[in-house]
Amino acid sequence: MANWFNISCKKATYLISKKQEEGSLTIGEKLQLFIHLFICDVCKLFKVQTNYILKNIHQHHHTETLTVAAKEKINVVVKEEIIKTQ
Amino acid sequence: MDANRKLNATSWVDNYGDALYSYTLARVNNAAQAEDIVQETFLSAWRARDTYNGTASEKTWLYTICKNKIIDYYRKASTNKEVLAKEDETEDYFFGDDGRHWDNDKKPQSWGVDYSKNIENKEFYSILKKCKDKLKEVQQSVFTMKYLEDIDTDEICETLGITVQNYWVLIHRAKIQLRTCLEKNWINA
Repeated sequence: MANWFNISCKKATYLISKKQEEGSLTIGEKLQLFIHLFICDVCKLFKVQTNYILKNIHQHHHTETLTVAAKEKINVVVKEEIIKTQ
Repeated sequence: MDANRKLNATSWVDNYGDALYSYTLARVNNAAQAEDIVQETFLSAWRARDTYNGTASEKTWLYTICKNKIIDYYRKASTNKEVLAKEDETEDYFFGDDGRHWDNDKKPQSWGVDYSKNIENKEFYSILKKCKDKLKEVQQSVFTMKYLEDIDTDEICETLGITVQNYWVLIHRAKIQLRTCLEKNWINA
């Protein structure tokens, strides 16, 4: 029983990820994680930092452009297809 | 008489080429591959022009086709790669042999940031992209589908042909590695 309450950091981080993905855990898992996070500051940091990363990921905006050559090539291919099948 | 009159196909590449390329490159991490996907998007759109009914804008319609091409790409990539979550040393690397505790050199450090604030730092995103590019291909696909595409778990599992347990493990490994990579290259840079 003592072992059941005392989960490893490996298991704890897995449960943190699972909670982030699923939104919930089983009652047993919740209890195990709660106890672990109570005593383990490192895994607590892992939880806070991964939440922070995931929360911010969506503001990710890219502004890449096609090279002139690539755009020209695609333009030729697409226009040929249009002319052929119009 | 038909909606495809509203399509301006000869201007597609000039009007949407860069935007679709940018969108695709953020998701497939390979310039040549992204160019192919953009080209295929326009060709498929042209071939399917009769199905365009004008309810969505031309732009939205093209993005939908492009997104499907990207998912096809993930699907193909996953059949060539080790998708199974086994045979991977990620956890051993971070937690040592018995898995009980974080390896001393690899455990999370305090970042000294206000976690409740949004990150308004362009550098974060370019580093995040570099970190993401370093992940194993299947972890990258899973992570991108989930967090950039907002595809739900069931659909990701179906597309890649993996179980949900496998999915949790893959995405967990992606998170562990991204966190470490960001700590090293963004926080402690």
